[in-house]
Amino acid sequence: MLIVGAVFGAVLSFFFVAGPLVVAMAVALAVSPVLPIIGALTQWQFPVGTIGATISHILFSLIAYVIAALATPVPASGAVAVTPAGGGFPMLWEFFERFARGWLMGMNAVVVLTLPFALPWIFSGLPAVSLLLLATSPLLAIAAIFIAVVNVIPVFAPGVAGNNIYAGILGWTAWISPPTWPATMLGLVVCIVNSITALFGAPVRWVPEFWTGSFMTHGGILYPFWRVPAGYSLGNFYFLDPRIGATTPEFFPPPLGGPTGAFIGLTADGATLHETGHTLNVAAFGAWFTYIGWVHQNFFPTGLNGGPRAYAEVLAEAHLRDSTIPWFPFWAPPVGLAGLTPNAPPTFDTVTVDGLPPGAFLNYSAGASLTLSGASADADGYPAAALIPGSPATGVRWAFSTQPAAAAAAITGATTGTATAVVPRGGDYTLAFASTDGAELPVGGPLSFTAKVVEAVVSVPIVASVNQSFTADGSMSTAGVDFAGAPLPLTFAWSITPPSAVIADATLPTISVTPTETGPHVVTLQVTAAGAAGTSHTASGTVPVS
Amino acid sequence: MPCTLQIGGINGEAVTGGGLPTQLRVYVRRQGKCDQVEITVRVTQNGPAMFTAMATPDNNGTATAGFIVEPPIFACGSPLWVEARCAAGGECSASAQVSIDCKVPSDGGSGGPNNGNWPWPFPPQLFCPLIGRGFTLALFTGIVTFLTGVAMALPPAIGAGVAIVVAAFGILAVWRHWCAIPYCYFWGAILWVLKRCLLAGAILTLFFVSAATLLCTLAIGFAAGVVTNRLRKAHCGLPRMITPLTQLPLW
Repeated sequence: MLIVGAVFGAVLSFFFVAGPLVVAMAVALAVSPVLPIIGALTQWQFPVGTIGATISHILFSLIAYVIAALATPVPASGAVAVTPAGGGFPMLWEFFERFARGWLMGMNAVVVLTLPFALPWIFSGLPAVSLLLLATSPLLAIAAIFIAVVNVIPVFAPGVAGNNIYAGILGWTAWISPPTWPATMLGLVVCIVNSITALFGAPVRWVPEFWTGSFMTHGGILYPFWRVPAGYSLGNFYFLDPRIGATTPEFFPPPLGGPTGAFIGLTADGATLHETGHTLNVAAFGAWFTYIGWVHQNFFPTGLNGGPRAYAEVLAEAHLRDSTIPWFPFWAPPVGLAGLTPNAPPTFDTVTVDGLPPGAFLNYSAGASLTLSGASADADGYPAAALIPGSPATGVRWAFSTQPAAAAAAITGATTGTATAVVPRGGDYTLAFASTDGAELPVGGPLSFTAKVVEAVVSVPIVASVNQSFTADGSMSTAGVDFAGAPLPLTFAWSITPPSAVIADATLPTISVTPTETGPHVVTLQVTAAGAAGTSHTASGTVPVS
Repeated sequence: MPCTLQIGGINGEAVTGGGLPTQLRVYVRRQGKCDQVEITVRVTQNGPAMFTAMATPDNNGTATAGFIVEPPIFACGSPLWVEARCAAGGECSASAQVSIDCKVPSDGGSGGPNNGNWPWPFPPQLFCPLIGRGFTLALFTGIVTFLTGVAMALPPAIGAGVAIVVAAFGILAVWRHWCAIPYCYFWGAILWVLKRCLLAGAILTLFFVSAATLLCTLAIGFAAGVVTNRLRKAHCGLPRMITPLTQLPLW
C-alpha cells in the first residue's frame, strides 16, 4: 500500500502541486532578468499558479495526514503495534496508514523535483543571484532527482527509514528540498530573532546536531511561555524553551507545574532526539505535514488521537522513545536503542537528607542547614550519555516543592549529588529530588522528604516603662501542621534578663511582663514542638525600659 | 575549557652500550588551561618519588621534564609510575604506569614502531602528535582549497585541493604506521576537520552563490553526521568546532 499511496501522491502532486509550481516559477524567472521589479512583484505577490499549488499541497497533505492519524491505533505509551516486515498479513488499519504515508512521500518527492526552478525563483528579487543559480539548473536537477529518490526509498524498503545513514542523507538534503522551505525559512527567522536576544543578555545556546543536519537554539524569547516548557521544530531548525535545563530536570512551581508544582524530566539535550525526528518528518513529508501535526497536537490535546498521540508526534518520538509516550516505529535513534526497545527511565540510588531516607520524619529548628545527598543511574545510558559521550548519564536536581510563604529557602549545589539546604523559617517544607536521563523522570516521579521546622517568633513593644506591664507575644511561633492540617502543639518557655522583671506565666504563648528597673530587657522564648523529637528554637526581643 | 592532563610517556635517551638509558624524558599532554605542570616519577605507585620537576607546556600543550639516571638502572621497557599535577593556572591531575620507550633517531637504518630504531628526528611522544596535526591540517587545507575551487569554478584550485587531500592521506599512512592512534582521536580529528570545512563551505556558498559548493557543503555535513554517530557508538568525546588544533587530542 505504500507504493500505491506513493504513486497516487506523485500523480496528484504532478498535476496539482509541482506542475503548477514549476509553470508559475518559470514565468516569474523569465520575467525577472528583464524586468527585475516586476519579477520581484510577481514572486512576492504570489502568482495564481503558486497559490493554487500551495493550497493543493496543503489540502492533499491534510487529507493524507487525517487518514493516517485516524487510522493508527496509538497506545497510551510504547510502540504502535505494526506488523513487522515479513511478519504476515498487515492489519486493516495499516493499509490506510501505509497508503497515506506513501501518498505523503510520493507527493513530497515530486515537489522536490521543482528544485532547479525553486532555488532561482526564491532569489528572483535578486536577478544576479537568480541568474547565477539558474545557470546551475542542470546540477540542481541532478540533485533534485537524487533527493527525490532518497525520499521514496522507504516506500519500497520501509526498514531503511530506521537506518541512521539514510536519516543523515534525508536530514541534510532537506536544506535544499523545496517542500521543507515553508518550515525551514520560518525556522531561520525564529532562529535569528532568538539569537538577537542574546545580544541583550538573554541566555541562548546554539547546538548543531550533525546527524540530521538540524540546528538547536536553546533560549531566546519565542517560546510558549504560558504553558509547561517544551520544544518545537521548524524544518531543520528546532527551538527549546529557555526554562528547560540543558542536562538537568527543572522544577516548575504552581500554577505552571500544576497545583503542587512538577518536575520536567525532558532536557534540551534529550529533546534533541525528539526534534530531529521532526526534522526527518519535514524532510520526508514536507513542511505542511509538520504544521498540520502541530495543529493536531495542540488543538486536539485529548481527542482525535491528538496531543502526544498526534501522528506527527508519534513519528518524531521514535527517536527519543520516552517510556511514557507512544511512538511509531518508522524512524530510529542512531545509537543506544535497537529494535523496538523503548528508553529505560533512570532510577534512584541512595537518596538521603541528613542521612535519613525518604519517608523519615525530619524535624529542624529554623535556620538549620540540611545535607542533601542523592544519586541516580540510567541502565541504558540513553539518551543523554549516548548523545554526548562522556557526559553524565543522568542529571539531578533538588528543589523545595513546598515551603512556608515567606521562607525563600535556598539550596546550594541543587544540581549536584551533594547539596546543602537552609530552612530559614518555621513551617512545613517538602524537599524533592528528581533525576532525568534527558528524556524522563524515574518511574514514580521524584522522591520527597517532608520536614517540619519549628521557629520561635517573639513580638515585643518598642519601648516600655518601669513598673508598667507590657506584652510579649509568641503566638506567631510555628512548627507546621499535622496530617489534619491543624497547627502542631507547641510548648513555650519564656525568660527575661534582667531576672528582676516579673512574668505572669512563662508557659503561655503570650505573656505579660512587668519590669522593675530601667534599662534594656531581653525577652527570650524557647519553643518546643510536641511530637517533633523535642526540636526547639529560641528567639528573643529587646525592650528598652525607661 | 577545563584542564585535563594525560601522561604521554617516558622516552629513554643516551642509551648505554648495555641498552640502559642514562636520561629519561617524561611527556605530559595538557588540554585546557594549565600554565605549569608538576611531574613526579616513582618506581611504583606507592613508592618514594625518584624525580620531581616543574614543566611549562609548549604551544602544542606538551610539557616535558628530563631526568638523568646515573648510574643507569632502568632497562628500556621497564615500567615506571608517573604523576602529573597542574601546579598553576588550573586544577587537574593524571597518573599512570608507563613503560620506558627507547626510540631514538636511528643512523638511517630501517626502523619500526615497536623497536629501538626510530627514523624520525623526534621521539614518538613529540612526533606522533606532530604528524597527527600535520594530517589534520593538511586534510582541512585540502578540503577548503577544493571547496574554494568549486565555488570559484577554478579547476587548478580543485586539483590542488584533491592533491592536498591525497597528500594528507599520505601523512595519515605515516601516522598510522609509526604511531598507535587511538580510535577516538583519529575520528575526532576527522570530525573536527569536517565541522570546520562545513563552516567554510557555508561561507563560500553564500559569498560566491555557488550551488555546487552548496551541494559539497551538504555532503560534508552528512559526512560529519556519520562520523559523529561513529564516535557516539564508540563512546568517544565529540570535538567542538571551536577547539584549537593545538588542543585536539592527536597523540
